[in-house]
Amino acid sequence: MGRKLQHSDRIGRPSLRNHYNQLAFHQALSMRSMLSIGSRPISPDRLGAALLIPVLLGGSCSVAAAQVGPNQGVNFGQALINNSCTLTTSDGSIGVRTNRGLITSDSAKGGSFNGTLAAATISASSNLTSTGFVRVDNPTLTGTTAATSSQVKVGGGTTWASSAQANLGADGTLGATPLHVRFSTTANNNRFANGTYTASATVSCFDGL
Amino acid sequence: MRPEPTLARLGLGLLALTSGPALAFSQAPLTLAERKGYVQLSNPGERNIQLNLQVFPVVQQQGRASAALTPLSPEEAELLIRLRPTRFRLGPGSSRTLPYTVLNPSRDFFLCGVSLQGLFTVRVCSRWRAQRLPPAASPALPL
Repeated sequence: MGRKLQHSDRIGRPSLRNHYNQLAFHQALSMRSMLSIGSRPISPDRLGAALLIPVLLGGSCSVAAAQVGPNQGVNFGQALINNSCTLTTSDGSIGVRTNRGLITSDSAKGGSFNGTLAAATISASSNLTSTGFVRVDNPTLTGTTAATSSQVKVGGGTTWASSAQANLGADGTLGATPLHVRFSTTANNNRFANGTYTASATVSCFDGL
Repeated sequence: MRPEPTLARLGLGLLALTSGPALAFSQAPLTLAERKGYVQLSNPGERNIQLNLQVFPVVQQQGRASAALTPLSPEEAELLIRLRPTRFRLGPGSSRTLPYTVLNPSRDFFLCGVSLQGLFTVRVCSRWRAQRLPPAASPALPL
């Protein structure tokens, strides 16, 4: 070990050749330290010294070029992280049952319908977790005959209600999810009268915190 | 030759599902942490959208805080938060950052960007949680 420390006295000479010599020596020392660790037990003190010396001698063995200028810091602009949510929607379409008792977008209701029945879709992306949720409220039908029952259904289930919630996944997203509406009336002898009808709903995103 | 009715219906259904680009709207932050700050509203969709910024009371629904369906009147809202403008359009891919100041920190509310998109009213809402004002210092008692 003493001889190795004498060798380290040469550290700091500006010649590139010396630098390479130091690297070669450092490499040899590191290998020798590993061999001695492998060949016989080594005391903690000697182990510490063996590990410390390569550090004193100039750092990593993989560096093969001399530094010729001062260190230069590199900065990155700051990033502001905030909870956010993006809602994306696409419209569906509604039809009316031939007995005029039901207006819906859900073809799974059965029976004969006039018009094209198609689900709307909603999706959400966010930097939230499953605490976030999307809420669908206030299904509304505008047209000649007022609806007396207005319901929504989110996803592929069978549950109809006046409002619905869908949790975001653990990754903060809600994939394209079908949204259906249905309306019935007790007015006009339980029949929707002739006219143009439009359905709408309110979709909201909350972080749930 | 007339098309098979079921197939025709299916074709119309698919047409309805795929016609028109999706509409989208984004807002951040979802929690207003400071009395003064910024909200950012973005339109990542493919069409222009009209946005209204409205203030809604907080209601508990299914165990969670959410915004009521009816907004406060503009007069009531202006007592709670200062924000300009409250109505503007956003083109596809654009965003806008607006400064706000909470004027009455002692009341819970949601500030929601509201956009009428096709048949949907889409809202993304930022929560302001009521902050208790520190109690006024009591006068020193005479010794």
